[in-house]
Amino acid sequence: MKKALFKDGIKEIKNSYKRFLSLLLIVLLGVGFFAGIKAASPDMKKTLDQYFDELSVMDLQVISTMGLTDEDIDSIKNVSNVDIVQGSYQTDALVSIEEEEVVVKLETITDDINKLKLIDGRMPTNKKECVVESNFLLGTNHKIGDKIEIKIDDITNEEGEKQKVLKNYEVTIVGTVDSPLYISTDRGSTKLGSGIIDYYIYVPKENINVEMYTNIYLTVSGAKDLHTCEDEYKESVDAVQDALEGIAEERQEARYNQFWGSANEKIIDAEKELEEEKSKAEKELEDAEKELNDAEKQIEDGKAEIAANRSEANAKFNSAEKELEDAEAELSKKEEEFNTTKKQVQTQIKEYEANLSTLKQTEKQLNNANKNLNVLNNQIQELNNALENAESEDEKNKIQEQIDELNVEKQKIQITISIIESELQKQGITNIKETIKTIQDGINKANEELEEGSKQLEEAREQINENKENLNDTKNSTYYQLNIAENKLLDSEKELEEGKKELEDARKEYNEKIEEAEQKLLDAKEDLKEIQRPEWYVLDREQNVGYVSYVQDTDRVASLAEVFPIVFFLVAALISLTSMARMVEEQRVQIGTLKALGYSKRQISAKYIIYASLATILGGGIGLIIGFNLLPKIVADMYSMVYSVPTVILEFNFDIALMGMSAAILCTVGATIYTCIKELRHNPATLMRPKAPKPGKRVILEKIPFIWKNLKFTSKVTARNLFRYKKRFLMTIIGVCGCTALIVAGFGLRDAIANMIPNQFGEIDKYNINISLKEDKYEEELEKLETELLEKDEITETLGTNIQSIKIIKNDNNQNIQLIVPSDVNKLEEFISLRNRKNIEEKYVLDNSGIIISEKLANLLDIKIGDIITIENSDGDRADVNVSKITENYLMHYIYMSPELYNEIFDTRIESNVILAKTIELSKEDENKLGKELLKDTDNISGVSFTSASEDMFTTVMDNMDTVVWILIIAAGLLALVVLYNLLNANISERIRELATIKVLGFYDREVYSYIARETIILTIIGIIIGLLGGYFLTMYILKTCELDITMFDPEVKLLSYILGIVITVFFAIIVNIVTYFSLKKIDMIESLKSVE
Amino acid sequence: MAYIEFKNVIKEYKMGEVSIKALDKTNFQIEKGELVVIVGPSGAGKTTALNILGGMDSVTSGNVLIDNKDISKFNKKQLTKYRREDIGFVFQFYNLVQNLTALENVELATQICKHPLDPKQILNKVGLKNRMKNFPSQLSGGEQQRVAIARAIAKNPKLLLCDEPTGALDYKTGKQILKLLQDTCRKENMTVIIITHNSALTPMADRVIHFKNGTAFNIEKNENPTPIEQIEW
Repeated sequence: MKKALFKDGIKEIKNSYKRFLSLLLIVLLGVGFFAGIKAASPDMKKTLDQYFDELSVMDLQVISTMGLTDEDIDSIKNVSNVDIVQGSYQTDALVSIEEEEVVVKLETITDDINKLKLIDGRMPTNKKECVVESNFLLGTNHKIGDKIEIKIDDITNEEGEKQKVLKNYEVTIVGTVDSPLYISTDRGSTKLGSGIIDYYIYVPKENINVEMYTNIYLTVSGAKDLHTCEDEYKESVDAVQDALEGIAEERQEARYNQFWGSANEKIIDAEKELEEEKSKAEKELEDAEKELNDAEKQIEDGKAEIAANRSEANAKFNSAEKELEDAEAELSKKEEEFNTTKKQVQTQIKEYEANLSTLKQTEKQLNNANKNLNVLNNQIQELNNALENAESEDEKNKIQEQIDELNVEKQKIQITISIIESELQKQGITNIKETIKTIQDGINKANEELEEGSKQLEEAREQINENKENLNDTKNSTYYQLNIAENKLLDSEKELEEGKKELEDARKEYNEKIEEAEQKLLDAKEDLKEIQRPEWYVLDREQNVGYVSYVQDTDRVASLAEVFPIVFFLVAALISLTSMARMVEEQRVQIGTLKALGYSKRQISAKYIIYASLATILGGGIGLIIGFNLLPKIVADMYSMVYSVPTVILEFNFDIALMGMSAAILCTVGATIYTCIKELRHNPATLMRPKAPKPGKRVILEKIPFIWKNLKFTSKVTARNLFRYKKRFLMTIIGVCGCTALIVAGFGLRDAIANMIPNQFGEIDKYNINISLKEDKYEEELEKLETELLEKDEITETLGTNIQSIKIIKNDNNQNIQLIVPSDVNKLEEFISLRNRKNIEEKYVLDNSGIIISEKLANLLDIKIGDIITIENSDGDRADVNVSKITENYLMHYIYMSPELYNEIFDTRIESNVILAKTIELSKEDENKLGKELLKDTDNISGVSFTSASEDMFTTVMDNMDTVVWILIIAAGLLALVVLYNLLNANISERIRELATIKVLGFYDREVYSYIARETIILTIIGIIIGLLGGYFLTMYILKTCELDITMFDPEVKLLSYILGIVITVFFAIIVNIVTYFSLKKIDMIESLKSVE
Repeated sequence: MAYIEFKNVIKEYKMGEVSIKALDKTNFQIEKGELVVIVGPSGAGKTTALNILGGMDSVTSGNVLIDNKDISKFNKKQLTKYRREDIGFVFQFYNLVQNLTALENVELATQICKHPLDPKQILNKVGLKNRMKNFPSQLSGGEQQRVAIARAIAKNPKLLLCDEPTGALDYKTGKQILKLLQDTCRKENMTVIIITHNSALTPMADRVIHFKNGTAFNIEKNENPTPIEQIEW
C-alpha cells in the first residue's frame, strides 16, 4: 500500500467521521449482540464445568435396585480409568423443626466427590450435626445452630429385619451448603408428605446406620480436564460407563446371591408351612364333616324309632279305644235293654200299684162296709134291746121300724159286701189282705230288682269311663313323650344344619385362605423372580435434572443469538452498501485520476476497503468487548433465580468473536468490494466525467391513475423518491422496523415477566397462606379447624383443600403436577381464580364433568379441551378424566378437580390436607408472627407458607429485566439513529443540488425540510408498522426460547409496549429530523450553481 | 427611479485571515422590461451580483433596490419570499429535479407561487408540448434548459435571472435558448438578466453591464438590440 493512499484513507475517515461512526456503531451492535448472546451459553457452561471440577462432581454414578455394597465399590475401583469412588446413602425424609415439617432429600456427605460448597457456618464434625441448603433456612425461618428432627421409615435389610437408617435422628444444623447435584430448584418428588421434596440436607456418613449404599459416585481420570459439555468429555466418560456396565453382571449376581438365599428359603419354608397347614385344616374339616354325618344318622334313627313308637302307640290305643267303644256299645245296649225292661216293669208296677190301690179301695170299702155293718148290728141290737124294753107299741113300732130300717141298711151293706166279695171271688182273691201283701211285695221286689239293674249298669258305665280315662291318660303321656323325643330330634337336626353351614363356611374360609396364601406365595415367587437379578444403573451427569435443564436452558439462549443480530448485520451491510457507494461516487473524479495515474484497481479499492474494515474491526472489537462482558452476565443473572451456580465466568470466546467479526466483515467489506468493482469497471475517462444522475423513473403508483391523480404534487414527488432509492428505502425500513421491534420486544419481555407474578399471586392465586395439615381432615374436623383459624384477626377466609402431586400418563412426560381438590368448589373462586386468559371475565367453575388444567401444562403435553387423559394420583392409582377447561396460569402446573369427581374416579373419600387462607394486609413481620402462631397448633398444622415469599423471589428477576429493556432500547435507539442519520446523510449529500435548487426556487426552510422529511417520515411509519409486527414475533420467539417448563410468560404484549415502541422510535426519528432540519438550513444555495463535479 | 438599482454594493468573503471582495462598490440600474446582459471574465463578480440580485446571497454593505424594495435589508425569510415570488432563475446546468418529469419540474415551482402561469401552456410556449411527460434524462440539453426556463417563467416573476444559460449547450441550441429568453422578454415584458462571459452576445441586450474586478465598470444602453438570430459568434 502506498503511503499516500493510506494517508488519504485516514483523512477520509476524519472528513467523513459521521459516516465512519455510523458504520462502526451498527457493526458494534451487530457483533456485540451476536457475540454477547452467543457467548452466554458457553460462558455459563464453562462456569458450570469449573464449578463441577472444583467440587469434584461425579462423572458417573451407579445405583442398584437392591442397594450397593463395599464389594461393589472395590470392583468399581478396579475398572480402568476410574479415579475416585465413593458410596453414599440417599433417602427421602421428613424433617420437623419446632412445629414445622418439611420433606427433604437426605444424603451422606462424600468427602472426595460431589463436594459441598460451604456457604455459611461449618461442616459437620460428628454424627449429631448436619448441613442444609441455604433455602432451607430461608424457607423455614431458622438459623444455624437450630436442632431438627429427622423422620425416616425403618428399612428392611437382607435378613428381612427392620433396621434404623440413622443413628441419630435429632441433629443440629451447623452450616449451609450448595450441592452441585441440585443446581436447579427441582429437588424431585417423593411419596412422603406433599409429594414434593422441599430441600436437601447432608449428614456425615457416621450417622448412617445402614451397611449398604444407595449410590456409588465415581470420577473418571482425566475427565476433569475436559469440558463437561463437550464431546471429548462424553467420550471419555462413556468408555468408563461401558466398562462399568461390563462388570455390572458380575456384581448383580453377587448381590443377588446375597439376597437370594434368605428370600428363596423363606418362600420354601412358607410353602412347606402352607402344605402342613393345608393338610391339618383339611383333616379338621373332614372330622367335622364326619361328626356331622354321624349326628345326622342318629337323628335319622331317632326319627325312625319315634315314628315306630308312634305307630305302635297309635295301634295300641286304637284297639283299646275300640274295646272301650265296644264295651260302651254293649253297655249302651244293656242299658237300652234294661231301660225297656225297666219300662215294662214300671208299667207292671204301675198296673200293680193301680190294682193295689183298687184293692186297697175295695178293702177300704169292705172295711168301711163291715164297719158300717157292725155299727148297724150294734145299733139293731141296741134297738132290739130297746124293743124288748120298749113299753109302748109305738115305741116298739118305732124301734121296730128303726130296726127294720136298720135291717134294710144292713141288708144293703150286706149286699154291697157280698157284691164286693163276689167281685173279689171273681178275681180269685180270697184273701185281699194277703193279695195286697203279695202284690206289694211283688212291687217292692220289682223295684228292688230295677234298682239293682240300674246300679249294675251304672257301675259298668263307671268302669268304662274309668277305662277311657285311663286310656286317655296313657295316650297323652305316651304322645307327650313321643313329642318330646321328636322335638329333641328337631333341635338336633337344626343343630346339624348349623353345623353343616359352619362347616361350609369353614371350608370356604379355608379355601380362601389357602388361595390367598398360595397367591401370596406366588407373588413372593414372582417378586423373587423379579428381584432375581438386581439391576445396575450406570448414570452419567446427563441424568441429573439440574445439570440437564441448565445445559438445555443455556442452549436456548444461544439460539437467540441467531435471530437478534440479523437486523444489525443486515443494516450494517446496507449501510456499507449505500455509504461506500456514495463515497466511491463522490470521489469518481479522484478515482478516475488515480486510475489515470496508473494505480491499480486493487490499490484504489484498498482505501475504501480499509475504511470499511477499520470501521468494522473497531466497531466489532468494541462490540465484542461490551457483548462478552455484559450480555452473558445478564443472562446468567436471570438464570441465577433458578440455578444455584457461581457467578458466571466471562471469557473472550475466540470462536464466537471470529464468527461475529466474519459476519460483520462479510457484510461491510463485501458490500464495499462490490461497490468498488462496480465503479472501477469504468475507464478513467468515464470516471472523470460526472456520473449521469440516476434517471427518473415512473413508479408503480403512476400506473394506478385514480391514486396517482388524486395525489398532491408533493406526495407524487415523495412517492417517486421513495421508489427511486431502493437500497435506502430498504435500509431505513429495516432499521426503523428493527428499532421498533427491539423496543416492543424489550417492553414485551418485561410485560411478560412482570405480569407473570402479579397475575399469578394476585389475580389467580388470591389466597395468602397455604397451611399444611398434619393429618387429612374431613367435614366436621375440618370445619372445626377452619373455625379456629377464622378466629384469628388476621385470617379472613379459609378453604380446606387437597393438594397432591400427580402425574399425567402421556408421552413419558416428567412434569411435576399439583392436583388441587377444594372441599367446596363454589368457594374456590375466592382463593384461586380459574379463568380464560384471553377473556379474564370468563370464569370457570369446577363441576363433575371433568378437570381444569393449567395452560402451560396443556401446551407442553398438547392437551386440548375435551381430551381424555390418564392421571395417576399420589397413591399410584390411575384414572381417566375428561379435560373440561384450560385455565390461565403462569407458574408450575396445576390440575383442578371437584371432590365428587375425585371420589368417583378413584373410588375413595378425599380429605383436605391443606387449608388455603386469605389474610388482611400484613407486613413481613406480621406474617412471621402469624406463621409462628399458627405453627403452635402442633396437633393439626405441620407447615405454613406465605405466597408473598414467592413474590419476593422474582423482584431480582425484574431488576434484571429492566437492564435487558434498557439494553434493548439503547440498541434500538442506536440502530434508529444510525439508520436515519445515514438516510439523511445520503439524502443531503446526494441531492444537495436538488435541495439548493428548490431553495433558489423559493422554498421556505420548512418546505425544504418537509420535501426531504416526508420521505423519512413515510419510511419511518412503514418501518414502525412492520416493527410492531416484528416486535410481537420477536417477543414471542424470545419468550418461547427462554421459557422454562414450569413457567409460562404472559404472551400478551401490552398495548402500552406497542405505544412505547412507537413513541421511542418516533423520538429517535425526531432527533434525526431535527438534525436534518438544521443540516438542510445550512445548505448553501450557491451549490446549485456549481457544475456537477 | 430605476426598476432595479445597485448602490455601492460591497460583498466581502472571508477565507480565514484573507478577505476577498467579490463586489467592490458596484453601482448599476436596470429598467423594467429590459433584457440585460452582464458580461465579464471569470471572477469579475458578475455571478456574485446575480446571486445578490436573486436573493441567494446577502451584501456586506450597500443597497439593492428592486421595485422600490431594498432587498439588502431583507432577512432570510423575506429573501426566501422574494425569491419565491419575484425571481425566476435559470441555471447553467439546468438543475432540473431528475426524478420529476418536465411538467412536474415546472409544477415544482408553480405550486409555491401566488400567481403562477399554467405550466402546460408555458411548456407549450417553450416548444415542449410533446415532451411534458419526459424525465430530464430523456431530454436533450437544450430541452432541459427550456424546461428550466419554463420553470422560471411559470412563476410569473418580476425578474428572470439566467446564469450562463448556454454555458453547457452547443452553439445552435444556445442560440435557440437565447432566442427564447429574448422572446420572453419582449412578449411578456419581463425583465431578463443574463450572465455570460461571451461578449458576443451583448448586441442582443437592451442594456449591457460590463464587470471587471468586482465592479460594473461600464454600462451601455443599446437602443436597437439585434435579434439573436443575426448574431454570430
